[in-house]
Amino acid sequence: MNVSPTATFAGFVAAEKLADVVSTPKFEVEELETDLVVAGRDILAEGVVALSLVDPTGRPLPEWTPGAHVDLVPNASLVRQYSLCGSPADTGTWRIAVLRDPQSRGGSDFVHDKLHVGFSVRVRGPRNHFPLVSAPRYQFIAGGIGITPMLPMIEAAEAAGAAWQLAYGGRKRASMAFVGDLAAHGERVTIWPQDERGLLDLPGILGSARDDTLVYCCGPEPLLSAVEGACASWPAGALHVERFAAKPGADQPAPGARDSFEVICQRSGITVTVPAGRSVFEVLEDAGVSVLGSCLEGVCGTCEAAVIDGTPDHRDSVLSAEEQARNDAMMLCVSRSLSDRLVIDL
Amino acid sequence: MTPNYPRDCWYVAATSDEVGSGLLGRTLLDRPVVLYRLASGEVVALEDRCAHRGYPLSRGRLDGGLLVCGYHGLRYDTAGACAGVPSQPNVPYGVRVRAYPVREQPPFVWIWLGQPGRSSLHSPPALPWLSGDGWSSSGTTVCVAANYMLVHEHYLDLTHIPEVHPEETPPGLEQLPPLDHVSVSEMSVTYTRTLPPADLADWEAEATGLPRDREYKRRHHGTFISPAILAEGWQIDGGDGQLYEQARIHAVTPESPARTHLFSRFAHNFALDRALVGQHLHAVMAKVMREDVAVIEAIEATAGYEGSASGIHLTADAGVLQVRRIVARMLATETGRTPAEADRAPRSAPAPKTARPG
Repeated sequence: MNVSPTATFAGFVAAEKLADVVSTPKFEVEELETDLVVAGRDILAEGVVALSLVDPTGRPLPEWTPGAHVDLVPNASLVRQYSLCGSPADTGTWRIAVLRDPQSRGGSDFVHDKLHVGFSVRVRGPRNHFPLVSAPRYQFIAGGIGITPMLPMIEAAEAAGAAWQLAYGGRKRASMAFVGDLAAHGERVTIWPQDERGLLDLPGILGSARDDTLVYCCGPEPLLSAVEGACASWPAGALHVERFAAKPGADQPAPGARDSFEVICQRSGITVTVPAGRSVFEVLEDAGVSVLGSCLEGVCGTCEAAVIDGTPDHRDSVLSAEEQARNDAMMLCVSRSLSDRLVIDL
Repeated sequence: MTPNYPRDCWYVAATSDEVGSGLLGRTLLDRPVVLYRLASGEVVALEDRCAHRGYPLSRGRLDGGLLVCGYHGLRYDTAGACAGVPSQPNVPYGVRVRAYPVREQPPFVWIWLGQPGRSSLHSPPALPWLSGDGWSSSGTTVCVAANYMLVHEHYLDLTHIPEVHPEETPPGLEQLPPLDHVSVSEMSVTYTRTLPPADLADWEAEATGLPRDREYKRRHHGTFISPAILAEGWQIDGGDGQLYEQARIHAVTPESPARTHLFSRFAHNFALDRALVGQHLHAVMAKVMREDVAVIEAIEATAGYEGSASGIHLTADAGVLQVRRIVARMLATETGRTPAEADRAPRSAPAPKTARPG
């Protein structure tokens, strides 16, 4: 592909010869995809490798905000989400840090074993379902590799002059990435290796509910569940969590779930029937409705659609309990229906 | 209508040639701002309102590096601190006006009117069409009596071209085909459409010098880069191995909810050694811009932005809807609401459910 001088950032339309452009028969909304090159690779801690990704022609990358993540797409069947952990001010480089997961389904092994400096990888996004909402004070809680989205959040909180604290737990000190960098923040950061101090003392860290504080948590499922429990008495909307795997039990049908139901796409004027065993997302895609999707496990939030009428059976791990209860949005990849018909804004 | 523009964003305050040795007063995002250039070439932006009686500092004068109020002669340094009061020996403690972060990337002077500390986390976007490398550009600045989103939404859906600009539409193209792709990231939206082969419009023939005895393929593409800037390009495949591209870069800076500064630049990547081509394209694009502004102002005068945004959506609105989503998210995170709430009610602004100070 020729690279155009018109490129304001990677992903901007390159000026190929128009003769080479194949007009797609069906118009599609897609997420930005671009091939980036590994420009730097560092071992940050035991089992944690950090990659610096750049555009091969040196173009600036699209803007993002703290909490954003990208998909690495080595091939169509291997899509993994990683939080951006560098500075949003650095528009030339995206940084990710990846823990080698012994139960890897291929994602972390690929990054650790195959992505050497100079190698190219397809990247999709960024997108952000964990945005840093403006507040005077933040409590950040990270478990293990869940530290990654917290780093740009800390930079932004500092820049805005907000008060913040970070509690960072991990198995042992040697496995915890960025501990050295975080030391510069002094007492605002509490490093909590499990082999030295046990599990994070959540009641001690969180204290009593405050209405000037937002809580941001990213880490393994047991930590997320524990923080959700500990924040039960906090104001609605105070707790923000990021999951990279489906919440246990989230995929269970609610009482009254329909096996088969009708979905009406209001804007495009298309109606489909979703049978048992097929997702709303698949059926809409087959019907030619342009839908965005990525993880297809109810985790990444890409396929969120506004619900105009009907009651979804929420089976995702993105929306909070309050958000689910409003029944005005759903994740098309996993959620189904409690009513015979859903009307969605597509 | 309440302001619907994110503040944590670099906006264009002026073109470089507007900021000279004099004082330029301008309202940007509801704030009075005075811009001036120091002898070193550096641009300064201060609140255009004396801390004493609120007289506009842009009606004063420069004395060396100090800005002197034209009312009682208070002097301000480039950081906005009061450096002298003629009627008394000492300066009252802590007297100052706000100074705004500024960055100049010709042809634009960019300003940050948001939370001051956050300016360091962002940069004004690179605009290679305007840097002179392989491109020639010119521009026009107007004040549009309309909400800034009406300007963005106009340029995000160019299916208006045959109706609004019939003279500039390639003959035989009664309508623009649907978009091929809309590509979204967290903060940007890019759209493209490929046009079926058609004859050259007069302006295209005159600018490119291509023979009129055949039909040409074209592609139109655009990118919403931020709430401050939108770029689009019109490419003609010359069939001679050359791609003739005409780009329009629209810097969109709200003055108030119903008024918008529009700094448009017109760039082209061919016939760079022929000044007449540039002049011709400038004249055509300036005419097109006047027609665009007339449409946008008519919508503001009748429906207003909220009325316009509550209209029905068509397939061609895919880019518009993605941009509304991005802007709603930016507004929500700035005001301390969760974006999820904003996403689902983009047309109204309900009271935040969990109001937070700051």
